[in-house]
Amino acid sequence: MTDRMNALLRTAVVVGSVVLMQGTSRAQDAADPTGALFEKQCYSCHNIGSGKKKGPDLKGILQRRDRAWLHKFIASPKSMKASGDKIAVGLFREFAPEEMPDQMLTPLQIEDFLNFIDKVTKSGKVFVPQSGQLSRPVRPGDIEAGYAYFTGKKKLAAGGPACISCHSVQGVTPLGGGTLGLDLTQANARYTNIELASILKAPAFPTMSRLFANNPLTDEEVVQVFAYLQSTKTRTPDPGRSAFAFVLIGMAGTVACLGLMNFRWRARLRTGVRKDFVAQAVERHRKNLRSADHSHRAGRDA
Amino acid sequence: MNVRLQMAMVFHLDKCIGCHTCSIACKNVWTDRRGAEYMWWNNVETKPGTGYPTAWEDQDRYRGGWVQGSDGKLRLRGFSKGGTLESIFHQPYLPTIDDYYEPFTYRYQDLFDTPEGADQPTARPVSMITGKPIDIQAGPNWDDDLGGSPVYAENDPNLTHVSEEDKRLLFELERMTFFYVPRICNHCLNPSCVAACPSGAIYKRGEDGVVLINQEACRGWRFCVTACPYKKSYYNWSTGKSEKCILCFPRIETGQAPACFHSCVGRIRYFGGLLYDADKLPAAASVPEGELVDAHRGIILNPNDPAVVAGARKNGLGPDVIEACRRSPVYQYVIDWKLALPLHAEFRTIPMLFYVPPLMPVMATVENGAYDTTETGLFGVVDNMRLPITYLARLFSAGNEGHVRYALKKQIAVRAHRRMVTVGDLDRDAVTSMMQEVGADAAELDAIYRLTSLPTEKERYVIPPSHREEAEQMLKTDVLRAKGETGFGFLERPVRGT
Amino acid sequence: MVFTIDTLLFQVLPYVPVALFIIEAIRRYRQRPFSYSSLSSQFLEGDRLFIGSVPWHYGILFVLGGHLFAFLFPRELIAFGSVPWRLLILEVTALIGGLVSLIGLVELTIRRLTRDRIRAVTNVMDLVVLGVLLTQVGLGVYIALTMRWGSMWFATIMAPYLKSVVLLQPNVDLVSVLPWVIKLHIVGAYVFLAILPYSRLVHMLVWPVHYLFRRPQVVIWNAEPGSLRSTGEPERGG
Ligand code: SF4
Ligand code: SF4
Repeated sequence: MTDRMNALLRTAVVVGSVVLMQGTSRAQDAADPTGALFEKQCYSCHNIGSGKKKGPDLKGILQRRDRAWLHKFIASPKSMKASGDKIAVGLFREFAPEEMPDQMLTPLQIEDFLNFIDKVTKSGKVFVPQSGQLSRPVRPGDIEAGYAYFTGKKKLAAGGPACISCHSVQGVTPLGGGTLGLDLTQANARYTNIELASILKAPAFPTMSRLFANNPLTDEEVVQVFAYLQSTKTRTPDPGRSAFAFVLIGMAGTVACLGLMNFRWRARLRTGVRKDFVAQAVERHRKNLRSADHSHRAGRDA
Repeated sequence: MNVRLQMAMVFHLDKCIGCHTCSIACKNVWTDRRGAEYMWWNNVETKPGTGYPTAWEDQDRYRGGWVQGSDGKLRLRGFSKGGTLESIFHQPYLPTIDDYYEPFTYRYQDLFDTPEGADQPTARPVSMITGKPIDIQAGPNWDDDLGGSPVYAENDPNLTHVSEEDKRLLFELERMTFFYVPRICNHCLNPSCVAACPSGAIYKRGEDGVVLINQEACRGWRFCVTACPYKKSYYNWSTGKSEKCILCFPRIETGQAPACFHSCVGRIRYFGGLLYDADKLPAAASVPEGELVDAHRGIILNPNDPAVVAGARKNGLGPDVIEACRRSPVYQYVIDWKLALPLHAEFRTIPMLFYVPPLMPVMATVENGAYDTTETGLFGVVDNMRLPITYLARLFSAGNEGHVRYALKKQIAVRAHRRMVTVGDLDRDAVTSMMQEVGADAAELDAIYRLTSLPTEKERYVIPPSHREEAEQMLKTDVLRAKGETGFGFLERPVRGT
Repeated sequence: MVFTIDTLLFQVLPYVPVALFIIEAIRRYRQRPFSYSSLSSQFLEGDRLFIGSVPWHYGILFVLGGHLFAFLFPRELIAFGSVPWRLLILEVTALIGGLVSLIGLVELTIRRLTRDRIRAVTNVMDLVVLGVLLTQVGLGVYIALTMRWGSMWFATIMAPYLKSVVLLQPNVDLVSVLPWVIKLHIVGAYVFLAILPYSRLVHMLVWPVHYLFRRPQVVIWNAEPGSLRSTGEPERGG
């Protein structure tokens, strides 16, 4: 009963937050060709209006920096840094160890990007990538479906690997989930809803992007996994504990295996046959000596 | 009938003086190498005693040889085929070097190099494995002549069948006795070492039955060491290969007796060919223990039987080979006279080395100050032997006392007969009835006497020609070229791999 | 193509040990058959060997078998691991296999280094082998513990990578983003392959499965039976 209510409540929270997010994002110009290009080329590191990522938020960049400087910097950030440009060096230091790679962009393309950023800035909204938009609102039942995708119980339609291979979410299994990737328990605290959805749709991380390049999640799957991740927002991650349980079970099993081997070959020859004989004879001899000594003494006493 | 030739041996234990010359001859020729120092392809052990390696006869420990399953089929006592692969990472019943001995030498140079001082210089013993000084714990023949009896003789596995009373008598100081058992690989007809080798590196030569380990195919899994109930396959800890007695095949191929035979001081050894029926093989090893000796004899064929000769010819054995088998001293001792018995037939490997059980110092009965020379007095010896007959039967006839008793009685009959002929102080009727009891006439007893006491080398070793020249032709090589180009031995030096 | 250390390690390097392994193992087998041996030292010391050798061999066979299975049947493996409790069983058994082999290997190393008799039959290559194996198994256990779930990401990342190597189109992208520990483990595997034909490890190539299928007795004739020893015919020519 309470489980059911909990589930309902969680769904309500998720649905609410998603509705909110959809409200802010509807207007966006993903259809704009420059926008699409921005999503592909820049969005993995830069937001417009929704905060720092691997690189700075680009909102109002034209108001902050000189256009000519921007042209030079975007074309080749590394040579700017090498030339000792103060701002460039500062940026590199701030975002270390991330380093913005040199871009193969024509001045015309850079100009297009700058204009696009300016347009978004002036509209007073944030940049919402195509992938950041959920195809439909979250519905009851999505969390459970998302959980099934997360653990791999339900296969992703395009054949991508299940999240649990690399990621954990508190309580996903008794021993937690994967630890090669991030613990996603509080994924939403780290990422905005938009980013989260966009990661699910078109991940920009090196490993994930390669794994999912040819087999992305379907829109439906994105919504459901999204819903599941949202539902775990309130949990506190405790990876140490599940790791400890894992080690403990492993060690117990190891001891059991060693015991089994010892039992299987319990009749094996040990220490050597001859040594045994010698030890027995020595022991017998000692005993004889002792009893002889004893009777000798007894005789003398009598 | 599938007639094959087997080179077989008889050791006449009553003649062995325990001099170990045979062991040394073998050592000098074959095993004086690193990793082989501890190997005694030929060893001479004192009985009662635990032998070499310690308690090798105790198959509850070492699990060698064959056992008969409830379905009558033979299986290796140690491992099934699957069990072999299962136990390949550590062999549970393998003796370690401590059950043989850690080979050692002495630092003789110290005797010369030590600076002058108050004490005599000594040559400390050093291990031939590690090169470091060791406390010698054991050596070959550590229990020679009953040395260390409380450790060794009393643990003789054959004594489990001897009554407590007999055991007590056995070790009574005044009565104590012993005899020697020289042992080499038996070149068995049903070798368990071959059957146990997972690599299939051990094989029996079709031409003469010599059992050999292909050094290039051996992978050092050591299952032969465990499986040979006689512990006559040894592991070379340096090269990582197993080795065993090769019956000096380069010598027998050139008509010479193996080195240990050739050098035997007591002239106790007889060497010759036996024809046997390979078709009867698994069956002869699958009979109840008491019938094993008879079954062994049953597969050996009479070289004078025309059917056997025809079969032998069919299998490519030349008339000269068959002729040699007719003169085989082994055939005489084993089949004609039934004097020689296999060692531990109950291991069911059908060993081809037979022993004439020893009479040992006879406990003659003295009556009225004269030896009791009546029939009962003479034959009484057999049952009043210092070593109980149960003990000898354990060793030589798989527990069947009848065979041992017969062999001993026959030997006494020979002595009585010869004494009557030469000294003439024995009662003719008594001797005749002894002869009747063992079913032998004077001619047979004389023959036994001759081959036992006065044989020439040619009579002791009758080696069928092996015609290597024809084997070479059969290998389809150019004989003359092979003669010019091929030598013996390894193309690859036998050193430990990495 | 940008040539990085990753390209070297994961694109070029793999083919060197594989080639070495195949060519050298065969060459050694044909030219120096005597040197193919398990080189067992049980005869010199048995008790400690049991504690080390049995867990080591069974553990490592299980673990290697697991790697091989995940490489050959990644889909099946993922399907199996898709139910959490099955995934846990899979991972725990794999971890146990790793720990068992690690314990055995450590024991074997200690034994080899501390026993005089065993040191007498130890050469440099044996120590190299022990070093490589210890590194490999140590890293493997570390990865199993800290970068879960190995079975799953192996099936999704390593299996395609290995397949690409086998198909002669190595896809470095797949592995280049992995943590360095895993990269080291992969390189270690190549090193293992490379030293295999030069070390005592060749004994694993002659593991005697054929024993299961042969008849118990082996009789070899120097020539076909029945065609030998025709000389000595007294009547011949006479
Ligand atoms: S005595 Fe042992 S080594 Fe010799 S053939 Fe028989 S079983 Fe094999
Ligand atoms: S050389 Fe002959 S007499 Fe001497 S121990 Fe050997 S078998 Fe016995």
